[in-house]
Amino acid sequence: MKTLNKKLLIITFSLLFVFITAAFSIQSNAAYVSNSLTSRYVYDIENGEEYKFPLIYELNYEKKFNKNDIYGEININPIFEYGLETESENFKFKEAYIDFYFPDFDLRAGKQKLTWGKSDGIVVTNIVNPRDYTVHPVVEYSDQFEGVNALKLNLYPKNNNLEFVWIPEFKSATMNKNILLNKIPDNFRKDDSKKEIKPEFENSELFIRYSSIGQKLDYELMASYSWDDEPTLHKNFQEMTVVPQHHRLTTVGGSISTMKGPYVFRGEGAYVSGDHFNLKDPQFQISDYPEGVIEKDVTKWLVGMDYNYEGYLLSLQFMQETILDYKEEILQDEFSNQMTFLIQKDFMRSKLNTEINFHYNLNDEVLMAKPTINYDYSDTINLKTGANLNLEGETFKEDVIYFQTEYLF
Amino acid sequence: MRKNILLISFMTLIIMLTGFTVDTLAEDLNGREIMEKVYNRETGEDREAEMNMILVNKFDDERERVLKQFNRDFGEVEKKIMFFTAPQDIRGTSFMNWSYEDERGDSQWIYLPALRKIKRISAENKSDYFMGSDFTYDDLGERKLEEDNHKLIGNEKINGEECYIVENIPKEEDYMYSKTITWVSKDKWIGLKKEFYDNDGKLLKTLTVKDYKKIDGIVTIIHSEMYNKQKDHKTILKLDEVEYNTGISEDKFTERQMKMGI
Repeated sequence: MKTLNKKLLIITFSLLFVFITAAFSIQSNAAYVSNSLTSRYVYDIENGEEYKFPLIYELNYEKKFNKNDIYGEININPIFEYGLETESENFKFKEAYIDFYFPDFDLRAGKQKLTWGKSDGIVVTNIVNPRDYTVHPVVEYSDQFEGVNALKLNLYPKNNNLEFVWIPEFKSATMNKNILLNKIPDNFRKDDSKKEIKPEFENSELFIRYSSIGQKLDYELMASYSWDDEPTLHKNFQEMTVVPQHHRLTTVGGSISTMKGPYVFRGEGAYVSGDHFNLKDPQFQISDYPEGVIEKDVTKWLVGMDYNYEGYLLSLQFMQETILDYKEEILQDEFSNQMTFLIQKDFMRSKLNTEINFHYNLNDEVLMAKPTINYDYSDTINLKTGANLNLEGETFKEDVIYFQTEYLF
Repeated sequence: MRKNILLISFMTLIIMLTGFTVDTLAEDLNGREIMEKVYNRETGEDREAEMNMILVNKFDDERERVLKQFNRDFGEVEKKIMFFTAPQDIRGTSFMNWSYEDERGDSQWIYLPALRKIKRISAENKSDYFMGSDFTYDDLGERKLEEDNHKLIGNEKINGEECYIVENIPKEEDYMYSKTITWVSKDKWIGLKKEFYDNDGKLLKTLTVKDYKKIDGIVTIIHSEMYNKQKDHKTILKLDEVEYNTGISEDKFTERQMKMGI
């Protein structure tokens, strides 16, 4: 009875909010208000049980302003999620920022998401926003990244883009607990005492990017002084603890994109200084590496190609990460290779969109597939179904299938 | 007196001859010359407009796409940028095209707000339909005169307007249409009707101009309809808030603008 009341309360609250915001959107002339209400049913096909049943309400509020000849825009994007199966509530801002537009530069302050680089679905230089590894299933690619509180400055020399992003307080990636637990040896316990990075000026992060688009070539050059989003697990052999710690990284990189006939080619590369890796045998040369961790520089490069054939978009990418000055004792392989392959096709005058995305980790021989079917029943009702499937190898994420109804208003 | 009569007669003859000559010249135009006039008619240095694209299926269900379009001819390159404003699921998407006069191919980009990313896309796929409409990218773009062989095949009245009927056969063998036939207004040099034939020579689509008007001295098609005969659906295209020669700057066709929107 209590559960039923709570559900009724949530549904009533949602409907009330819907009506209020809908009314607001009519009354507001300058602001643009859009809402979406999504119900998603996720089924764990591995264990044959219902997995999640969230009800998601999302508001997008945009308002342009012009005050004392200062132009700008406010963008607020809150999201409220209620898990019907767990009766859990989650409220957060995906983004909430203010833009100021000046003749030669723009300034943005607030919680924001940015995308850098030319690759799709693989991270090389797209490192401003931390990842959220708990998102499962992945319905929208951008949901895997979390917004960060940042100050962004854009300058536009010769119509190109010079971007500075300053993140005053470091935000770590949200890790999947199963992956973390698997990395902790049986007789060790976890000690989070050194995991936090104090919100001080010297601990802030800085990212710089220069980008240009042109007739023959689009390119980006980037550099950053940041923290590694995923902590390295240091070991304390006296206390038998595993101590997750973040490290400073210096990254320089770039990406390009060009077209030749029906092909679009892209490339991306980065040099990362100061990455840390665990050793296979933590007691190896314990005097040199007392915490079972070694520091090494890393290179990453990616090549990709899009090709349109008879209305089908085919997209292939290959990425390699290399640990420089490699030592055999490092737990991770010297070369880590991954590939993605996407097939996409629209039907019924773009009402029906289908795609299947494969991701293959060549080192671990893990093949994942993400088929998706999206049907725009109308401009306000969207139906979507898809799956996150592990076709080969082992992962910590269950095979799931999902069905989603989205109402836009 | 006699001198005056002679002068008047001479003038009348000149006028008649001139009139006759103009008429004869008009009649003598060949297909290429007619299409040349269509391609070269005054269209302004730049233009901005709001475009309503209504997709109608065979059951008369409608879906509407609203976008704001800016384009400017910079001489060797014509740049175009479109901002989608409705419906909600595609709002914020922008599309930019740079089309070069010479042999260089077009360059195209799309900004996807959900991904917060500008992607270069291939401009070769001109036979793809634009946003699910009945217009291909090529139908909406500027086809070059020399890409087709043009032949005058007749004359006909469309809505009371005298028109030339010109058959356009593409020189490129693999082009999406085997031919198009255009009804060109004899005094305004705009196409009032156009038929598109598939590669089997069957009628695929018909474009009909429903309304046009002079804006800033330029004849502008403000309402047209593309009907796909084979699939029995159509797209209605309406232009509103059309303005010419407003001095759109090059800054409008940049990465910054694609992300910022209108």
